[in-house]
Amino acid sequence: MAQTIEQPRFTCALGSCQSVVAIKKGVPILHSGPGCGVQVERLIGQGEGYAGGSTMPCTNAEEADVVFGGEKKLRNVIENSFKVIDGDLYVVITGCTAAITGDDVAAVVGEFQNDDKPIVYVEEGGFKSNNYASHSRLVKAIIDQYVDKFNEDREVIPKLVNVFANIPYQDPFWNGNLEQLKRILTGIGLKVNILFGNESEGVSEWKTIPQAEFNLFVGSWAGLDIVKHLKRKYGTPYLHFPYTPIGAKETSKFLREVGEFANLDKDEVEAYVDREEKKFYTHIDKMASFMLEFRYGIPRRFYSIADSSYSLGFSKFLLNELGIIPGIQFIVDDVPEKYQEGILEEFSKISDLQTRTVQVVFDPDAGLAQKKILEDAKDYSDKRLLILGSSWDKHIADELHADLLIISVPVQHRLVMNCGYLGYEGGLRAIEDIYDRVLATYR
Amino acid sequence: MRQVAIYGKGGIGKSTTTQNLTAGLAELGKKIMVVGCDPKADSTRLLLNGLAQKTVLDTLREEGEVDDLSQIEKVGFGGIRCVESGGPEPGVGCAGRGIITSIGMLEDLGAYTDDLDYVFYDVLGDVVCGGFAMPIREAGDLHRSFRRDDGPLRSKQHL
Repeated sequence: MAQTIEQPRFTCALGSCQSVVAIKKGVPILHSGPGCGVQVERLIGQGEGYAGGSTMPCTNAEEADVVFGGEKKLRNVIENSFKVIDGDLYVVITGCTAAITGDDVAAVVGEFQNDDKPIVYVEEGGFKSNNYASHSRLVKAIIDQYVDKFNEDREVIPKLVNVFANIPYQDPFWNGNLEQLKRILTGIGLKVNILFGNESEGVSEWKTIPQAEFNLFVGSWAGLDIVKHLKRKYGTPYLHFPYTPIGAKETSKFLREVGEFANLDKDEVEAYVDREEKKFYTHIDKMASFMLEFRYGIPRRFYSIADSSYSLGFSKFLLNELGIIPGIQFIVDDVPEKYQEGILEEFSKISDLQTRTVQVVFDPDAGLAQKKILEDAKDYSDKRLLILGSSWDKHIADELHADLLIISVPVQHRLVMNCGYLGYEGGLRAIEDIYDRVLATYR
Repeated sequence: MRQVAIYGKGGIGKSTTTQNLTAGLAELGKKIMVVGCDPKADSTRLLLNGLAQKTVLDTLREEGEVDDLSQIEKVGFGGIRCVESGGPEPGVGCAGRGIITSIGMLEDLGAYTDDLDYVFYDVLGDVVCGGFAMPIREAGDLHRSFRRDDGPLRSKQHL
């Protein structure tokens, strides 16, 4: 087993502070050393948001706070955060220092909770896990310590669904993807708590989490704990769709599964799917002349160095909608062993038309992935290649004269605002972005 | 300079042994510093004739920094230089890190002068975290301290 991991494309447990930034008027309060929040934001953020990056309140714990404990300082920072930042929910997140020292953060935060302040805490000493695991802990803390207070008369709201998907900011397109999810789920007749990002109504939406008829988790594994927790806590059933659905085929499949699970009117679902597919394929039809002209110059094979949800979603989409063959898929989101088999099974069902084997490598070492891509690509030197990766893969794309679509952190060579690759519109956006790179080399 | 850490289970006589031993060595003309590494801060009470020593961490807490060795060091029996590390309030903070901070501070302030023959560390032994073990890393010799009951076996395990 490798002793070092080169280029891990995730961050430490403290990275869950970005999930708070993704909640409208959510304010993370870090009880950590100076600089922790900024290093997280530099890797997985793009834009500080309402109270992220260097705006995050932080105790900037130093040696004296280790020796004497940092509780007084934390109390002070919380008090002042309430004074200077107009937030709807404050989340105290402890970093390594406080976690090792053993500051009684629960007691300090408890004082504010007793005063009915909207505040929770979660212990995220950086060494505890990566941010994939810590995101779930954070969401569960908000539910248990805050949302649950509003659950005295739990009355299920028909057709209300809580949606959990890729981790905000760890997925650079989280906001656009959630916008698409809300759009299409509303389209088939559901009421949607999207919880994070622009389309969310913020904390008021979180308060209705216990009233949902069901929960939906869209992604391979990171975040699945949340819906399991809600099932244990409130008995809410959940549906797990194990990858990011991209393009018409996968999105229609996704909507049909959701419709069936939620007992929605089948005709209504089909009518919506039909409308969306027509729109989608009209655009594809328009593209036919481009495809014909560039038939010898478009990517034929792609590699990905990405999170499992994207790797699966893009593989299905690119193979079945665009005919781009999946090369080795390097899955770098540190997938726990118990979830790997399920992901491999999904890859084994990638094509309806023939048995197709996709080589999948689970390893967070993206440096190793780059070396293997450079080796493997020698066998395909006559083909135009596509790499789905991050800004750190730019040099191998340059070396291979391959197209690079940045879909993973760190994102330094493109600006992401509302771009998302999920759904019908996301699929069209992906096609635009992939073939834009072809046209960019047009002479 | 020889550095000696006396380490073991609580109540087995570490502080008494340290102070009597260092007093004896002082009578032989040796230059000695005793560093108490116990939050109770009572390792040098006999040498200082009952004077409650102001600890390194108390000084740090109250004044923010320690500028001068004289703020934390008192001279006791036979010219023995006495320092107490002290600790945070019970139940908060990290006393182990406090020990590391204190010893680091003694080094920075130049407490380890060349004329010293011995530096003794009287270390709380019931806590197993790295901070309390730190003086042992500094020490050249270990002294075993036993009590005549069931303590010896357990204290052996500590050593």
